[in-house]
Amino acid sequence: MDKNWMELLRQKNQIQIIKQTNEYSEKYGLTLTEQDAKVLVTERKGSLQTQKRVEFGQGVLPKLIYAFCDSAYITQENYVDMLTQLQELFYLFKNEMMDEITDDELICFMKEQFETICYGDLEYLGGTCLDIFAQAIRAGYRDYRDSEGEGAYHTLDEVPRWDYELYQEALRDLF
Amino acid sequence: MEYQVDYELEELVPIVAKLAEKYTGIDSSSITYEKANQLMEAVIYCIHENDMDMIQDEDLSNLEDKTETNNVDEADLKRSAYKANREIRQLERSNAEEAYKTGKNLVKQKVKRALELYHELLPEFDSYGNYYLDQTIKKGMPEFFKWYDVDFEPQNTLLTLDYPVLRELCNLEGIDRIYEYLRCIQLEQRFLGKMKREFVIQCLVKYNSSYKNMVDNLCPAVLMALEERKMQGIVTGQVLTSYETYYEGDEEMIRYLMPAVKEIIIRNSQFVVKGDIS
Repeated sequence: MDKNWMELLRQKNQIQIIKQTNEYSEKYGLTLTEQDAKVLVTERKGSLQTQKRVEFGQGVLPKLIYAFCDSAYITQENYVDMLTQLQELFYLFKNEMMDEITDDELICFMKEQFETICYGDLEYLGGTCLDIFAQAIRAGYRDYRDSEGEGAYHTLDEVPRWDYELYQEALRDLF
Repeated sequence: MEYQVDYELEELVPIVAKLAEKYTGIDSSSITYEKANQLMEAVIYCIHENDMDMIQDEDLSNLEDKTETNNVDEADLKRSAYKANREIRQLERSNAEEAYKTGKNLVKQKVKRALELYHELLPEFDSYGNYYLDQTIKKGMPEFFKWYDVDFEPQNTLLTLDYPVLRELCNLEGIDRIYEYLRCIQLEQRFLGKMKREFVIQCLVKYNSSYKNMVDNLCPAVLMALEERKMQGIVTGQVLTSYETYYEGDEEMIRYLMPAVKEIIIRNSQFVVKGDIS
């Protein structure tokens, strides 16, 4: 059947829905103009087509906005760009994880790593954290379900993040 | 193959959207193209089931009377009736969502009927040692009833149905195909069951010494042997039991076996002609 019917599934009033998130995000100094919302909707369409997915209902963008708008690494200047990349990563890894993970679990995982491991670096988030997590999920890892994605990465992380002994040693050298 | 229905895409898409939401629960706001297509096919399948149900049995028998040859599959008859009724139904059809809901209920009822048919068939079932018949019925069917998904993938037949029946079923999908397949098996069992088991085995061995592993239908082997007996009877003047007596009065069985019988008769007549020449 013609793929065009999937276009019909997509919500028409996305711009309005996205703009409504301003009510919440403006307390963190982040707002989206009509033009920004249009850009995001266009980018969303492109990402969905690239990832061969179809979205229905409100879509994931409002959820991403509510989850990430309080981040210290997102400013008004990079807000639209960050959201564009976040939704791209979201759809890509939804596929990479073979739909085994729910929207909320994936967003929770992304936000946690974005803040604590990546320090706002989306390249590291996609190229390392999400990639390792996706590999684990494809291999059958399901422990994240108990915590809905929270704290799941530290068991999979290949990089030693904090060496207590080394810290103590450095501290002793200093004083 | 893809069923067709007389509804605009705009009417079907909201049903698919609802189904997609049901499929993902509140867990996901998007699905893959592949899954979306699967859900669209599920909707079309159920609506088609509803459309097919609107064709009355009476119409079918009328059509059958008008049919010149007996060698027409029931499925073909249904298709013809379906096409003939399309225009009328376009005028007085229900909306797509109603048609979908009704169709889905019909699918559920058909699953129930198929299961009943299967349970009816099982106690007397005999594969005569044929691996493919045995596996399809005893191992495949329970798996089908276990995994068949009325809600999200009713169009999936799930089984490869390795043992071939005498009726062409490739134009059917999902429970439609399984139900018809079970009906065919029931007819075959009824036919073979009328003869002594030893005789059937003897016919099968004669037809193919490794019949236990053959991927052919069992009936032609037995029909061939019966036809041979009949011919010998005519030649020698001996009184032999005509194999027609095995399915006397059973119209459904006659319709089912007749194409195979005709094929055997044609093959035998060619053989006789060749023999005369030499």
